[in-house]
Amino acid sequence: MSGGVRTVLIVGGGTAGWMTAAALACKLKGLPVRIRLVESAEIGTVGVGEATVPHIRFFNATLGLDEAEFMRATKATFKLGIEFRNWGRIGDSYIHPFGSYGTSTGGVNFLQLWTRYRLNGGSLSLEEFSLPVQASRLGRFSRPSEDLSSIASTFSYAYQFDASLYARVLRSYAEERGVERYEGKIVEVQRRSDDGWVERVVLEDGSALEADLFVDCSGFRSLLVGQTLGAAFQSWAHWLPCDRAIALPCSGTDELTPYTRATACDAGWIWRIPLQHRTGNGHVYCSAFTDDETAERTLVEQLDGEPLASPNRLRFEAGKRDRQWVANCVAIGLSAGFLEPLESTSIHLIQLAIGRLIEFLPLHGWDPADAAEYNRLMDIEYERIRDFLILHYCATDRSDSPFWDYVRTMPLPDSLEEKIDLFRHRGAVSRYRDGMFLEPSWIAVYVGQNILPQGYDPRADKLSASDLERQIGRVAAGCRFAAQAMPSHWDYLAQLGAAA
Amino acid sequence: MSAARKLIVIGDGVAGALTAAVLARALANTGFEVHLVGTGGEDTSVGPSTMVLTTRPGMARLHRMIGLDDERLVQSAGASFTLGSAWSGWSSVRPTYFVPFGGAGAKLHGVSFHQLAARLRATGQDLRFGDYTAAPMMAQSGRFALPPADPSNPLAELEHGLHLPAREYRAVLLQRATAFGAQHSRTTYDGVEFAPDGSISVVRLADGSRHDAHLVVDASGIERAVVRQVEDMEWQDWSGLLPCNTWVETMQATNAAPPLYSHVEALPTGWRMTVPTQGRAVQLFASSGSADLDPRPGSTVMNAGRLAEPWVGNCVAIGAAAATLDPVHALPLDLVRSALERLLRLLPGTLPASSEAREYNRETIAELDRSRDLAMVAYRLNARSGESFWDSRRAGEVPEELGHKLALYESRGRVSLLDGDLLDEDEWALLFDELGLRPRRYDSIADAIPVEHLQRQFARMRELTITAIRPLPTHGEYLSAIRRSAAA
Repeated sequence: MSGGVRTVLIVGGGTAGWMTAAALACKLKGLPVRIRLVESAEIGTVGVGEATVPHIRFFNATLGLDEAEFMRATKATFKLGIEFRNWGRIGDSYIHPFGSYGTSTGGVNFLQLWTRYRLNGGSLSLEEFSLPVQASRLGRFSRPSEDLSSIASTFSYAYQFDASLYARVLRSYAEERGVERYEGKIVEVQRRSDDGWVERVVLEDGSALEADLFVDCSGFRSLLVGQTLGAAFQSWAHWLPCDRAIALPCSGTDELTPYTRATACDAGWIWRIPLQHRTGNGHVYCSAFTDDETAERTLVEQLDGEPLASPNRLRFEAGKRDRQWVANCVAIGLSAGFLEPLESTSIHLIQLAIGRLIEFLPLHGWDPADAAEYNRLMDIEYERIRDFLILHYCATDRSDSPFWDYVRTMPLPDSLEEKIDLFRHRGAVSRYRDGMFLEPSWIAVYVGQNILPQGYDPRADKLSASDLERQIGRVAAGCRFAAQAMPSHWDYLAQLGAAA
Repeated sequence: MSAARKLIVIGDGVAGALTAAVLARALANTGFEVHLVGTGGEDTSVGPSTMVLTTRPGMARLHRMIGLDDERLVQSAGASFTLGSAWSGWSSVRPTYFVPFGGAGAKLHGVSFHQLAARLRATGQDLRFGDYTAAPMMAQSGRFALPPADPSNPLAELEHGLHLPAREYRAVLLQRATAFGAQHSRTTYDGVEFAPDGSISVVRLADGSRHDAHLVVDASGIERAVVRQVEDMEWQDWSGLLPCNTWVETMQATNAAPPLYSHVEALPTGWRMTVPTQGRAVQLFASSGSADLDPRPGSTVMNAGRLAEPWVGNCVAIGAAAATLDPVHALPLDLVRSALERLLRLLPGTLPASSEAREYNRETIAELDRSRDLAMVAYRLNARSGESFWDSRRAGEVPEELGHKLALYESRGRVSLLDGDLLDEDEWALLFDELGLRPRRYDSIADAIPVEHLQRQFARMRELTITAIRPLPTHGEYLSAIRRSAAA
């Protein structure tokens, strides 16, 4: 074991880089660690991660960011979930909300009651029992109630924001707390001769930056962990074949949806993320099944505002590095792996990686146990999200294009096959210790894409038919009323002082 | 509705009676019938402990579901409270230590107690986790009361279990089971018959009656009355990992108030556990018998291990029928609890139930294997030298998951939590610490808190805990008060 980390160099200043810098500056306050970041204005950032999941609020709260101020600065809107259009079948629409369905009774999940109701001819869809879905459909928003007995407490929320503005907020946060920023393009990475660890990076102007620990936030290039240290890329393209994206912002609409939309197309899907000042759009597609011109045309046809920039094209491959922490370099963000932004997981994976890095930071000396456990934990997260994303593609009846024929019939990971089988059989969701998507999320996508339970928990038979009917009616009415009582999304933003 | 679907529980010992009570309660008015059938043998349904059983804190939830609580079990089953276990003789260099339910100390600024303790130790300060943890302090003082509702009270999060005399506990459970509509058969189990698909179609009883089975639960203990008739039921033997297989129990009556803990004492070729409860104490001797010697008279032979798959077709094994483990961490009854909660979640309304069985087995096997790892830890980290039984325990292979857990903790005081782990990070850390495992490094974040501040907080924590314990009644007084409240 050698001496511990005294200097950290973050390589790259996109969302991942500045989130890492801000979190380290906050958490390592008072410790003798020098934190530096090097970025180049010449290298653009990807910043597709404009939609988030609720965990981001915990990240912001840890830093001590004021919500209204942060929302003004990043032109943020509230997000209650994601609407999926045309996934299970053309014409379908469902919302994956940040919240659960109904309330469980006597240890029996509400889904079980609903399944019994549905199998006996009940017609109300599962969406009727989710407050965030009802609020989304009405374009309304209010933060959840703190009264846990109230139906208004049964959901959570996230943000949709301008990722480059978010990086700017975090940059000033980090710099105010002592993070030193360097501007320059890295032209060389030098390694120690004895063990191959990275010693310094050399910039174009000939200056060099040394560090004990390097955080590789260099994006797809994976400059340190991939290129320099040779961590192999494990491709999941056979399960998640989309490999291109075109991003194109347009002017906003009068109505501000409190949710992100993902519309399935012939060979991929289109995202729509409403911000305060514009709408972010993009088409994620598979180059084996369509060409760039067609993909762009498909995107432009779907815009509901005037284009505000020229299209930005991206290429990628789904998968992750087989090791995300190698020697003294930790890859965070796109350098660690890529999963398409279908469930807004990019920023969440960055946040998770930062949290784990802080947990395993070797300030008191190096030991291979740190990287081993870090890599084990991150692998689980990527794999669980991977399975969840694949579900969106394989759970479909679509046979209208070669792309859908492929994803509908492709062989699945065993882990996912078993999960689907269990849900179809009796509406149960497999339980694991780790993984970000919990039971309500799996239920939302299964049911939203027409994998409906054929059986249910026998305990759901306890209620008499009339009591079941009454309870079903009560929960649906409760969600409807609570949603109607909320202000419109814009009004709430204005009222909070969050409108820019 | 068609004819009632029968859930037939074979083995009417503690595990079977608990299963029947839980199933009957959960499935009342849903078209199921619960039948409980004995096998006539001794009650080994939970494992090597047969006279007094120990519950872990999670049991309260299941008890509540069937209308039982601590007071009621103190009154009607002769239960006493337990805060954990005291261990002596496991090291020739270290003194007795205490393993409570729940972890040590409290978090400060989001940093775990054990990381803070490591920081203080690095400054040269010698400290023991037990001095800052309510459970061992209370156990030592002999004072007890159920945790106060006020969250600011240092005893608010105190975790406890129960020592339950098995015979009385079983009687209470049988009473609950029948009250919820379970039918306790007067006759005993005879055998099962199989359908062409391999599932059990009929359960035969000794009086000649035949029962169509929807689901059969084998809770018959080491007899494995049903399981051994099922083809493809393979047993994974853990003898090489957990050596004790010969168990002898004795009971003594006593007038003294029971201690708030069990006591596990290492002996040259095994160990002895004393489990006290109201009016009596049971001693369980564990040793490693050899196959060519006749076991000691009165002993039970039970090798550690588990079924390769606890649920096959429509037959689910629960308790010692599914797995046998050392009872030192109060795991056997807690594994029954966890299995029942899982069975409720996955109980099939219709057959076949291969989807449910697969999920049940995946979760259960992880839990059994991680529990085995936990049971191995005290053997692995023993510090008795010069005795071949103990020396050999420190050497040899460990399962990969345990090896990783130990290595990571030794490296930096973090615990690698895996699917199936029943303890949380704080509980593992406390166990490792008491067993003498000291991490080489600690979480750097702990350095951000000034040492003087930490020392003050630790001292304050201890002071507040002592102040909160001082006015409590003794365990004996507390038990008497509960018994009196029943009489009143």
